[in-house]
Amino acid sequence: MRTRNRWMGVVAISLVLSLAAAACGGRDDDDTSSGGTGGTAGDGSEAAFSIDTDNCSSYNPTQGVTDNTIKIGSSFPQSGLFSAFAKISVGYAAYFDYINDQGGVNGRQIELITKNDEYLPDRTKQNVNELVQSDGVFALFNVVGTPNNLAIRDDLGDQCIPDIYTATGSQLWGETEAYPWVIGSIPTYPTEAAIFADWLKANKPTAKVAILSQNDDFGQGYVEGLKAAIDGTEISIVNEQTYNPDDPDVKSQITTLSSTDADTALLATTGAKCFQALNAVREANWSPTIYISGTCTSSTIVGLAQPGANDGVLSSIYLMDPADPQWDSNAAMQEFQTLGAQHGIAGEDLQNGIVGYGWTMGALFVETLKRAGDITRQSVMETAYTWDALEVGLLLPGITINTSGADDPFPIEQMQIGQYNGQFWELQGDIVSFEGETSDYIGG
Amino acid sequence: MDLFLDRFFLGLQQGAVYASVAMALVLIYRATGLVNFAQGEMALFSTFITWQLWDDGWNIVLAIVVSMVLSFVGGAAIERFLIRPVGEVKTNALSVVIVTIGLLLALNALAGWIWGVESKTFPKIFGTDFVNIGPASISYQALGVLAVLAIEVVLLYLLFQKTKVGLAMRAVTSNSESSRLVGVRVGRVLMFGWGLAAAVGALAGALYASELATLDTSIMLQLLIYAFAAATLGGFDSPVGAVVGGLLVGEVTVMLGGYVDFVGEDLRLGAAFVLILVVLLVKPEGLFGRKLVKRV
Amino acid sequence: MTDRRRFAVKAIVVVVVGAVLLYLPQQLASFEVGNLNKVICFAIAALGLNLLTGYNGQISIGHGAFFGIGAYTSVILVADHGWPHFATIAAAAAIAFVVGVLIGLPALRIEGLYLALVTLALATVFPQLISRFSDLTGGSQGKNVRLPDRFTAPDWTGLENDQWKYYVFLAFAAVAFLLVRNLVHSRAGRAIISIRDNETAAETLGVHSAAYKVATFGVSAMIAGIAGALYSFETSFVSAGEFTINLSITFLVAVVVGGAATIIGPAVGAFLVVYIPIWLDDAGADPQLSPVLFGASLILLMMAAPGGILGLYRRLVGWGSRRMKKGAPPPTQSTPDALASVT
Repeated sequence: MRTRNRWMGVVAISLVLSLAAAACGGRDDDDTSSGGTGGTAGDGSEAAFSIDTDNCSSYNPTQGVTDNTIKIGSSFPQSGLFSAFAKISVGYAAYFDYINDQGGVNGRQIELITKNDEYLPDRTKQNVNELVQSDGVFALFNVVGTPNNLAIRDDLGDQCIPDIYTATGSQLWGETEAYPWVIGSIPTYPTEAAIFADWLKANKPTAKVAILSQNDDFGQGYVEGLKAAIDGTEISIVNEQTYNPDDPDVKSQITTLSSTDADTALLATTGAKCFQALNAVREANWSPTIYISGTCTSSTIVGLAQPGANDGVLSSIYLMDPADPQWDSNAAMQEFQTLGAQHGIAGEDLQNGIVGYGWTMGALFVETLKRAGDITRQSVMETAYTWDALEVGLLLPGITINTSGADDPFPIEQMQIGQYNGQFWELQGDIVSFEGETSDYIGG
Repeated sequence: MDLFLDRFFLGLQQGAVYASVAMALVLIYRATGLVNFAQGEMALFSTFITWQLWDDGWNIVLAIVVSMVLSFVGGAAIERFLIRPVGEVKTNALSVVIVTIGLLLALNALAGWIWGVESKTFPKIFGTDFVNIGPASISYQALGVLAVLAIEVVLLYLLFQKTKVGLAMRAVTSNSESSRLVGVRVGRVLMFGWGLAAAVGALAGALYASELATLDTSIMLQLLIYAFAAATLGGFDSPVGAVVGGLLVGEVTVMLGGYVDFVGEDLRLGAAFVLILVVLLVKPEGLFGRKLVKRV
Repeated sequence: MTDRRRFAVKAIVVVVVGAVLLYLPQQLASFEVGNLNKVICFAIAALGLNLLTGYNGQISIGHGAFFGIGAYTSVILVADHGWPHFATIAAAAAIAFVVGVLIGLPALRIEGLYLALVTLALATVFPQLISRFSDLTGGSQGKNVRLPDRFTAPDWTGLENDQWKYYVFLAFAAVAFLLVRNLVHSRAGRAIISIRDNETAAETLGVHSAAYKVATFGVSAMIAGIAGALYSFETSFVSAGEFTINLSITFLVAVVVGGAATIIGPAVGAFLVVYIPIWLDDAGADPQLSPVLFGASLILLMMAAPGGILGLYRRLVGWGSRRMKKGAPPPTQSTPDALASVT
């Protein structure tokens, strides 16, 4: 029976909690956790950062958490032109299965509920409503898509529910003051554009660039990032075209771009558009230097381009590519291959970088739970903001996870240029670090 | 100049695919007087069958031919068992529309259920090479699609004008009651019409997937809209109209999209429809359609 | 049964149903009430479409666009210009009406089948227009109404937001259904129906078919626009991907499944169209399989009961003949012969 009294109860609880949080002050150190593959937690640091739960409309710190389970939810495209992203969940579902087999996190099994949103933000919103109200999940994990997360961050922020480790590199997830309950995972798109600009400055200082970008904040991140990064150099942008996510293909945009005198192309595309764009470039009999979004690096995306269309394409790499033989004897990669196979990852998926990303995210989330101590929404989120040199999953050796509250809300900020050879991504040059500086690159 | 030529050829290439699907629409309209909203998804299903055969090792052209035959049977069956029981189009227009919509939903989902919803690679039937024409280049793919279209038109023309079956079809479209009276097996003709349309659709679907080099359940819906635009422009009862309409829609959308900033990439189809609306206001039956006489 | 008896039965049914409807939001969880809110908005939109397609014989596969016009008008006015919510409904209604008339005018020259295609064109172009003017509309990324601007329950009601929205929507729906019912049973209504059944005959009897057809288009669009504005209160979010052809098809299916040319048919249809996917999902049906079942059942329904659920009900109850005797507009079993002009 729903009456006004229920509101009084909720208000009372939130008051008590916020008083408790205030009284407890900073967080305690936790022992560094063992178990989990290839992950070493940094030394526990005090939380210099705490999230206010006073302004929540209805803060429920342990919804979805029981003595033996933690229920989390995710929403991502499982059908349509962006369905390749569904492979990410194969990675983390396997990791959770592995952890559950070991007894779970501190005795709690991780229960995962996923829903299909077909990359449509209104569906994401609906799914999240259901996940929160009907399934009662503790947190939203690794939701795919910049527009999709934008559609849900208001409501989740209002209810103080974590939208943790979103599967998008928009710099908007750095708006920690306004949206502390959203934290990203991968390097931001403007920093990707910056690393490409650096490569151009070193290898093609007078490049003429043509840009194809998705008509939303995802694409805009690259466009504005590149423009800022090439300011004052001899690199110029000669033409820009956009497309909408639901366009069937991008042939006419590429036709226009290919007829300019551009010798370089930035493809700020994702999903099926990645290989459609590559195909169109080849069919237009055009051979520019191509940089493609880091969201395309999966073998089930870039690998679907026509033979020859993806040769020599550049992108940003921050995870070990399972198809790259140089990592065959790496301990973390071996764990991924063996444990992954034992826990439900099929043969060809074990060679797919996007599954590796999912595995890494699963490991990161489990570490977060382990380090959070008492599992509450607040403690888990705060843990996500206090990483110090964490190695986890399949991160490239030398890349670690570092966050620091509102000053550095971006988990992964280091990457390296990679060049596709038709099989895997060959790493070029050195690891470039934007540690702590991501916000300088076109703040959201 | 070469941008213009590039766009021109692109328009032809895309228009040829619209024209092929429009052809299937026209066939069904001529045979049974109804607009088949499920045409795109029927083509999709057929294309998945083609893909499956190719994936199992068959030669792609052979796969398409086999798929066309299977689609013919399927189309005829659909007419006989799903469309005919609903009733005459004249009296039950809305019901028939809903049936084709139901078919659209069911076939699309069925394809996804059987073959999975992830994108699949589809082979380039004509390879990936080019021919250089002056400063521009046109791909073998484009030339191939146009050639196939031309052959289709010729074959259908011969069918309608020179064969008994074609004559029967024309008779049924014009007056089914009288045709029945002179001994035309109306039911058989209707089934034949649908079967033929399904086969044409199968071919069109394979050509389209070959152009996109990818196949998944979402590609046909937008294509269907372009095909509708083509058929509307050309006149729903004219195969020649379907071809001309298709090529025109292809050209208009590419040219307007490229050269008119206001239209840009977003409003290409919208601009095409405005054009069609204007044509319809002047000539309601389309460019090549027969004038409709309403009997009271 | 005597007339008075039948009236009493009807009255009791209405009262009981009304009581249940009023009581529901008190019992159900918030997101379930949200589903009901969606049903109500869809029911109003289907009501508008039914007026045009069921009663006037002009098949429209474009009502998703009018719905979308209403939704976007409301969101833009609330989010960017701070309009009060109810005022945006009026604006949405006005704009949708005007667009409806603008479509209805050329529609006069275009008969049945081609008209359906033109409305299909409208449904296709609408999301493209949204993308084109993404600065205003948010494009495919969508436009969010920020928390302080949302349609929330005023404090004096003591209701939660979803319940408040439910009662407001229900009030709008009740008024809309009542007005349409009165329209259909009026002289104008009979004129509208006569145009559907035989336009030439109607003309010879003095009905200005052009005026009626255009007006019906406008009113039908206006009702859908209002439904869209209400829907935007429910979701507080609009994006291009919501207002595609699929939505227009959904409305048409709702009208036909419920029963074209009936008053409560659209409500029944809207309920089924929203809930069947939910039930199938809850029952654990393979998400790929449920649209197959849905499509298949549509086909079967059209074969077995082209008059929709309500048509089926009436056949069972033997309603038809009795109503015919009373001289009221006959509930049509077969559906409008909009393609009669095609030979």
